[in-house]
Amino acid sequence: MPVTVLIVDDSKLARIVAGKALAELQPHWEKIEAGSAAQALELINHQSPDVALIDFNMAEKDGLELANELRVLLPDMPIAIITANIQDEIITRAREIGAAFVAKPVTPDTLEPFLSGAALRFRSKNT
Amino acid sequence: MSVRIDGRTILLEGRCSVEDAETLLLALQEQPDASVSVEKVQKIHMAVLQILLALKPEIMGADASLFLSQNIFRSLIWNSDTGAKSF
Amino acid sequence: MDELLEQFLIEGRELVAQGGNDLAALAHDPQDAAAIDSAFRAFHTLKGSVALFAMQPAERLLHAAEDILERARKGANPLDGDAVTALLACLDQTDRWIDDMERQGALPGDAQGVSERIAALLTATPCEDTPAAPTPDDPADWIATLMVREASAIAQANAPLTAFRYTPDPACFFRGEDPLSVVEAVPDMVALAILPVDGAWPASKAIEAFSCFSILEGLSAASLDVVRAAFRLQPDQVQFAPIAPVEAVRQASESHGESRMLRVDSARLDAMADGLGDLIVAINSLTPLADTAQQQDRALALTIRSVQASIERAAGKLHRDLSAVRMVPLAPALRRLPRIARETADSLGKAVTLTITGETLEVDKQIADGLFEPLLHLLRNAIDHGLETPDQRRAVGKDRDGSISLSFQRSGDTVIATLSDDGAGIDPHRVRQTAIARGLITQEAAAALSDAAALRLILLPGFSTAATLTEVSGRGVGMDAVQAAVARLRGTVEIESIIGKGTRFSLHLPANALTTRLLVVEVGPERYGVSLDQVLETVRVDRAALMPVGGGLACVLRDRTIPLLDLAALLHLRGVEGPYAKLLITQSSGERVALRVDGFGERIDTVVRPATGVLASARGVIGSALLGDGSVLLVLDLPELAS
Repeated sequence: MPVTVLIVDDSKLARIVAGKALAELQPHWEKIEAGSAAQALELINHQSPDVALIDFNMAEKDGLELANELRVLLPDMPIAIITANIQDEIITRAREIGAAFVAKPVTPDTLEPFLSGAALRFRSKNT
Repeated sequence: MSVRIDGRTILLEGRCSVEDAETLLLALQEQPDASVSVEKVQKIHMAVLQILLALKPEIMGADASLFLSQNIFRSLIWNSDTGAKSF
Repeated sequence: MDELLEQFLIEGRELVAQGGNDLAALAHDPQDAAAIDSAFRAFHTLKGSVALFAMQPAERLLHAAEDILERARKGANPLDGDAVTALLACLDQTDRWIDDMERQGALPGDAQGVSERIAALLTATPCEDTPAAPTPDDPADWIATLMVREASAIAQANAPLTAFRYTPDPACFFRGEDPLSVVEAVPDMVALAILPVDGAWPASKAIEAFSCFSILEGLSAASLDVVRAAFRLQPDQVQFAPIAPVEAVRQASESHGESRMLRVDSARLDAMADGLGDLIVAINSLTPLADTAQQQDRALALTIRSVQASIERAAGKLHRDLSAVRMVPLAPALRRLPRIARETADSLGKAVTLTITGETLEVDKQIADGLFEPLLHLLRNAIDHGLETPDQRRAVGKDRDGSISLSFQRSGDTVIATLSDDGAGIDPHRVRQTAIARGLITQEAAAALSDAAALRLILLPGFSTAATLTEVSGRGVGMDAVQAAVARLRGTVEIESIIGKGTRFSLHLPANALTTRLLVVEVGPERYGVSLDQVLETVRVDRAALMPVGGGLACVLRDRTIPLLDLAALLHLRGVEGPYAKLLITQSSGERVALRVDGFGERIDTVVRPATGVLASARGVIGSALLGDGSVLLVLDLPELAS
């Protein structure tokens, strides 16, 4: 069963960029996109993603708040917060919910460590 | 695939990512006296490097990345020189 | 200068060099009895020599070092890597003090303190009943252990350092973290060590591939805040400690607050060199401007020329100053060679003595950086293919140990690196046969080559194939890699070999790599640049002096007949016939060759940019140079065209 990646960002352009980097690194993984935190939570109702890439800077609810809610629903899911500007306060919050950081703009290089860590987790779960 | 086995030599090539650690470990468990060529390494993940440090295979080649050759492989060779004798 | 002091300067430095070689051997094998003996003698003699002068701090330091070596010699306390490092720091400091004695006839005021600090490193080395594993978890202890381990890096630093100890969470790989990438992002690293988390590395069977069991300790020349910033995402996993430099004190007391040393990122120098290149191009654009002005106003043209000349002088001085800043000694680039030589020889069951001379020579950084690879290759090749086995050597009455010498000397603007071995030599007959067998040359062409030219066939791509490359010198590349690496540095390779006696490779490289002196030549309607490095001389001969030889032409130059090629024909252009033939004499494959051109133009100093794109594959083109008027001059590779 393929791995499904949830990409949440209110910029469509940013979702495309993240999707491209994903496709380059893990061509067999599937992606689902959400343009807002609300839409992401809506999607979770009938689809269960294995990995989440969430933009920090979103209009209504910031990425960490969403990550926090997703963490409750899916405790084992690898989550990365995408941000261009990492502040110490964000680092502490992200550490608390066990989220990783991916620097913005998302490129295969910046995304690779997080995805390979996630891949590792799926692999060791299967064996 | 960044870990390739060629006879008694294990070749690390390109970007050695975290998954390569398991392949390298298995290869060195199978052939504990194999040499490891790092000549074509561009980047090496900590997971892969610590396997080399722990198992101290003979390291061959000077790699292309300046950071690695200056900071990692030189000391790696140094350690395997002295380590093998003092343990 | 006092005769005694003069002798001490010579002898003291020799002893430092000898001690350095011995310590290098001990770094390889701390139990090497011959090296311990030799190092002991060097330290002992040095101690005796410094006692003749007002150098008490040096005497005390060397005494402490001698003690350690003496105990090692008697087998009471074997050396370990830390002790060797501390001894090396001691030797380096002695070397600096010798410099001080030369400059000001006395040790600097802080010598006493420096001596005590280094002596502390010596005694701190766990010589007494070496404990099996350090206790890395004691917080204060990691700093002390690190200071001993990195003693030489600390001794070399001339600014405060920041030490860090990073213990990654065992599960960090699963979060996508790579501790090595994190450390790689720490700026200005001067030392890095990776240690096992439990004091000893796990056994093969006990390893979990995806669990991090390493600790990373390092030293950076950056400030605490900067280093801390690199670990922002792992604040809970890192400890920091500021390290005061031994050297900073010395620097400050020496400089009287004025000419302070400055550490500059080499990329900044490269940027300055690029900027200077652009400036030179801009200055060259004054030449056509003066030419245009000449037609309307001679006085104006004259003024422009004189202004141009003074800007050129200023730029020339800037270029020399910048070149001098970029000059670095060769020694650091060569540091690894002795050990590699030993390892290579060991792996082949051979023994070799490598002597390096002239390594204090300073060359442009680019050359120093670029020289390691071809030298490494030549060295491995010499040990593998050049030297005979000990049995073969004995059979022909040579010393059991092969000897290889690597020397550097400067001749004008050229640096010559010579690597010679006393091995079996290269047989030009066998080289010819191999080249023919590999389809690199026809039988007739091979037979026509002089022995010297035949030896150069080994530099051709495809000469060494997988079958002839052994594991050691092979690695999938042949001698053509040496040729290519040297060509990239705009140098040339020469080979001399005597069967049974040995082989000598000489690499001729420009000592200054920033700009190139070009001679502009005219060929038919076109103008080309040729590097003056490649031009032995330019001559003008009567056309009647050209003689047809075989299918081509030749001319006689100082009683020697040399082949002559028409550059116009080589470039598929139509040349101009005049009463005189203008010739560029160059050297190709070790032979002199004359190239005929239609005219000589001006000489310019300019930046040659390497050929890219279509040009890169064009035969005989090194690169291009931008001229003052914005036009592009192709720069020809004469030896390649003539070959």
